[in-house]
Amino acid sequence: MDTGTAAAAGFLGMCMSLRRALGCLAALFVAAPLAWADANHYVNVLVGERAAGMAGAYVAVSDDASGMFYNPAGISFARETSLSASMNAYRLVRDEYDGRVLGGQGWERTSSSLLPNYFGLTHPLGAGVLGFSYAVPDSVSTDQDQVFESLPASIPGVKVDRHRINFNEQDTLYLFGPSYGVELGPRLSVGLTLYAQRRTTEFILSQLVELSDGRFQLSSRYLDVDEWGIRPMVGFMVAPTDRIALGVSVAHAWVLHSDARSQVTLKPHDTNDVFEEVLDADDRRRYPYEVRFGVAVFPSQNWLISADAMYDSATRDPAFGDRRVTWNGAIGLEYYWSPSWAVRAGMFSDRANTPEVRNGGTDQMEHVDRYGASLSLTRFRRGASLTFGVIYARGKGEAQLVGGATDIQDVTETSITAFLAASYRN
Amino acid sequence: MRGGLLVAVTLLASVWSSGVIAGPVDCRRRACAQVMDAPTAEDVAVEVRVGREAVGRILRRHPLVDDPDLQRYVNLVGQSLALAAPRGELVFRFAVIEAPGVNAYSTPGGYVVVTREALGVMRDEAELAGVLAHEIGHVVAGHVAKDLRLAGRSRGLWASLIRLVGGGGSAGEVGLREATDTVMERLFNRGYRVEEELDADRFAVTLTSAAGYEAEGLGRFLERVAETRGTASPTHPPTTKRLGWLRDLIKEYGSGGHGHRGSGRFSRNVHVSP
Amino acid sequence: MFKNAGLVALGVMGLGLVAWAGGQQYVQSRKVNLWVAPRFGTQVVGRLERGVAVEVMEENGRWARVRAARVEGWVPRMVLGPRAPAERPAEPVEGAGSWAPDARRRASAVVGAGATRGVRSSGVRERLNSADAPDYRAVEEWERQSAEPDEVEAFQRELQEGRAE
Repeated sequence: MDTGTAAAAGFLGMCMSLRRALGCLAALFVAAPLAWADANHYVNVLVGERAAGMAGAYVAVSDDASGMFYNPAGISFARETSLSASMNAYRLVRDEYDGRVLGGQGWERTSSSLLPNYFGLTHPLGAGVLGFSYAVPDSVSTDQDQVFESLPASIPGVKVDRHRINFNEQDTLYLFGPSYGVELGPRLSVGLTLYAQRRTTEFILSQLVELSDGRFQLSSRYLDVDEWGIRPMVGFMVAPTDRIALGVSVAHAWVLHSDARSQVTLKPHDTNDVFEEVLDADDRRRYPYEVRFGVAVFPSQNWLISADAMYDSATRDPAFGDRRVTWNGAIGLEYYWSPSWAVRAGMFSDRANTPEVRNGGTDQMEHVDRYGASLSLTRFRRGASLTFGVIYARGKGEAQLVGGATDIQDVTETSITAFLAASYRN
Repeated sequence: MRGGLLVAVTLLASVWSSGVIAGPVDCRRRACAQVMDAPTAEDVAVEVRVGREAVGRILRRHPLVDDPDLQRYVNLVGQSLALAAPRGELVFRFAVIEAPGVNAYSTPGGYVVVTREALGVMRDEAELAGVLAHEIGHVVAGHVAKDLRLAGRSRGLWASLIRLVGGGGSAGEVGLREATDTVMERLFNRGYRVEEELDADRFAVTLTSAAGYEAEGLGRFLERVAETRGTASPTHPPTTKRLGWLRDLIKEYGSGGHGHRGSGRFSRNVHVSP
Repeated sequence: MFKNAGLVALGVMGLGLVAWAGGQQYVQSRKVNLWVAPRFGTQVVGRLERGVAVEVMEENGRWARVRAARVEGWVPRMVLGPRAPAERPAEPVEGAGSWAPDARRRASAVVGAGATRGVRSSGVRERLNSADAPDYRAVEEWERQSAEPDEVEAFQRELQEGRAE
């Protein structure tokens, strides 16, 4: 029995030491902790009753309680009422990896989460509008239980009879805090949102490998990351003409405190000793500067067209992986065919912030560019509205699931989100 | 990408440097507002109550013209317009007041007054109808009534905060007088926003046409006022601008070139020297 | 199953859209004519009263083509609303009470309800000697001068038939 504990070995060190410990066996999915899905994208879950239907093209609209997330300057237009909004979304994500994973067998994993992903409240105060909101723009919840049989192994003359994987992952990003928006003139508004940011990640991976000669390997890994920070956002809204609005918002998250703990238990195939390792790390994840530009056209009270461009700067992050400059776009449409009913639709991109997967490299992060569409239907009553919508996104890309290997897998990712949202005027 | 940024920055800069141009339409207003913002019976009761209080204050300073026939005539013109006006839950009332200047006012709840001097400038009933319909428009759209609801809500927040902190139950009360102050402030100092005036003119064009009047009456009246007395109205947009949009509205509604002026009936009933 | 979930959701929404596309509206004005074409000055084919439910067949700018029980024609969109209008006109005075100048009123049911929305008369003392005090007598006098509906209709007819020139 050998127990090694190394404090503050660094997050990256954690991942590498696990890989060394697992040695050269079938060693599937060791890389998985480096590639939890949605740190690789910046759009993920669309937030807001109107905004989600319009594929998130909302920076130049932003004039209701969900505006605090997109552009706090917009809430200054909600002066005549106080508003509250809430949203619940059910999201289903499926990743399919092609047959080059192991011995010609493909791999598929699904994640589903049902969560309240937005709550916001605005109220006129002084010259402007004050608000508070809570948003969950990124959440993944994966449960995986899979058995592979008759796989090749790296030991000559031996096969892997069974390889059982139990995988459970929860990764959620929470934002909450106040906003204030104020009109500086008839054509210019400014606003500020001061979010507190919390990210929690929990990850359990158990693998059992049974070899054809009767030996077996058992490994179990637990990872827990708790991250706290702040994410201020400044927004501006300008109306160059009567029916056009331009919006811009800039946000950046700073992690103030991060606490990661990894526990690995391993019984290798060639010994009956059990190795245990507990590592702590306090590396702080680095987030990019996010700049959103938007233009919205209001041709009549029945129509609205909005388009956004989103820029995320590159980050150098030795612990959690470098991210490159990412551009995304969204376009959305809103149509009221009667004062009681509205339909919204939109298209968006959600491109990977990871570098392209290169041939010959190892342990590279997954790179999948996603593209999606949204559609929602809203019913209005006095003082309230109720919206049901769906968002579909799909992307193809490449991944390296097997740690230390140069194999590259093709990935197809599909996601469907159904959401139910409501807003109230008091 | 850099190009896009440059364009955005240039646009922002040009908008900033071009300064403030009056007159944005309320383009953010969505069709659902008709349903979501519909006033409750309670809102209407408050609106009428405060409007009555405000018009009472106006009458204290500017009494009704003591001419029952004239009052009856103006009221009939107003009532025939009000037939087609939405918000049938309100009782509209029309009267002539003794006040200096060419003007007309409406308070929430449906009280519409026009000054005797304004009547003196008018030449026919279509012009009178245009002015009254414009004022009905402000009432129907609830331009001032919205202030009341807003004031109630804003103070409601403070009231609840104060109560939360432990203040007395009456700490956040808003008096009827304060609400009336809000209305008076809006009518006589702040005035309507440009998009609200456009709203009311749009309404006037439809309402006068629906009642059988020539839709051009309001424009004719405004033009004459501008010619004879200048355009110095602190609470209304420039006349040239209004005349322009009135012409556009008449074209938009297809209500140009027909309807009646009612000039005979007007001159039989109105004997006011300008 | 995964693809099907999305398809079902889309299908439900599509059906919902179709089912609700035709909207019923209510006449908000007390009386409004029905024109044969979306233009004032065209032939009047009927007259609708407040509260009548109409089916909107077509919209054209500021006009809507509607069908009521027997008639079909165009009305300005402005006179239609998504909800049935309130039954009775709102009373301008709370209860049947008059505004006697020296009465200090208590909050009535109507105004009491208003209190929750921020307007309230209890505890308000009218400063009757001040120039700002409302002239309730003048308002009452004005409110008594009501015009009979028949009289208003006749007045309007006189204009529309060209007898007011």
